[in-house]
Amino acid sequence: MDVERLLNEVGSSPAPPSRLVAAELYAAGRQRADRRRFGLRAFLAGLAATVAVGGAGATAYALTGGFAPDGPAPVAVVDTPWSSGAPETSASPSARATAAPATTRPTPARSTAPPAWDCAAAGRAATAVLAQHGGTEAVVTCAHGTLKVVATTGRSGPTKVTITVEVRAGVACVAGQSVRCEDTALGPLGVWGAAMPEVRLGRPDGTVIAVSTQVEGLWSGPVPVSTPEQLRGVALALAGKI
Amino acid sequence: MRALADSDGLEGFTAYFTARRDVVRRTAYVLCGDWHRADDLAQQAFVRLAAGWHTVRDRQALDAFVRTCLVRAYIADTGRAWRRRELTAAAPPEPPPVDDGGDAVATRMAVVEALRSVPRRQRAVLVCRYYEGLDVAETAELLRVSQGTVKSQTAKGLATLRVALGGVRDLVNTRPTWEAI
Repeated sequence: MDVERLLNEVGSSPAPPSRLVAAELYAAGRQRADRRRFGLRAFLAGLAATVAVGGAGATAYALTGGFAPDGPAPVAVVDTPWSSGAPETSASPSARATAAPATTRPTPARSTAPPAWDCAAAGRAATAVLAQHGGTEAVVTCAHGTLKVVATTGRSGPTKVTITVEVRAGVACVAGQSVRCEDTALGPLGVWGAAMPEVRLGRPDGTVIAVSTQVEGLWSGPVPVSTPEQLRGVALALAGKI
Repeated sequence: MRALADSDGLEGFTAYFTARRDVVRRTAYVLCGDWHRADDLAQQAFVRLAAGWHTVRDRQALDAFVRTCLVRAYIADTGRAWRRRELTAAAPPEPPPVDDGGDAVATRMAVVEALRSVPRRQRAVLVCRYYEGLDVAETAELLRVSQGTVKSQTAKGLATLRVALGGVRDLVNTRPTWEAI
């Protein structure tokens, strides 16, 4: 059996026209590479944040005496048995040192930590900003210190265009082959990817506002809010509201 | 800088794609026996190539890279449950006449039909060995199996193919070429 001839016979079958387009394949490949790179960076950033937060928490716990040995054990109070001749007295109150009445009203301890970030309020603000850019049906999630807002900016039958905003700790821009960085008044801004870019704006407080657009299905015509300039405008608008 | 790099990358990728698209599609067709799935497999391979285009240093190794992606995508794809269910569909209602030795089209269809009866890993081994011309070691490396596995899968695949091609008399010699294994 000449297997080579048989397989070559099959391979020489007349082929129908191909539906593959080089530019689309290349764009899909670059997008895939960018996604993998983002995933790795997000994982490393999360790992670093976990270590940092864990270390800071342990330090704070140690400073507040959390690791100090326990003090002397409280003395157990045992009622004195009544002596037959002794007059009956009421039990003395527990000897507990009481401070003298304060002459001034005590003030609550003032924390030096910055106020906690209100994720829900930020989500509402982001929804409002996205609505100005045509975003509807916004879905807001707050999990693991990350705010994520997904809004629909276009719909045609089963095909849908969504814009995603993520606010999280991270790095806005790292000079590299696939990143275009620029400095804005609100912080460094990076544009990741070319075909369907993601724009990240880093604020001075260390949070990063990432804006990107996704297409689910085959969308005909220009994709709304998908160019770097449009995404940049959304990111800058969000930076002032969140 | 990014735009410049992308432009260069796209040009190089397009040149390679234009030159090798048909070859890759045909290999995929021999693997799966269906042009639509062949396009899907070729697409997966080229997308993977595009994803790593800027990291490829040896341009001579592109063919091997695409071939590896193609074969592994075929094996992974046909291992999925929904694809297996699709493969269990009935045979075409009008099978080609296999006793017409002079009709090349009928021969091709008969061989494609016979290849469908070969399990996917054995079929991948046969394609690597006898269509792509790889040796045992190269096939083993591509499929991430041992050389002994390649040899046994080759023997089993040939046996299955021989049984399936029993009706194509003019294509089947009486003496099997076991030396090739």
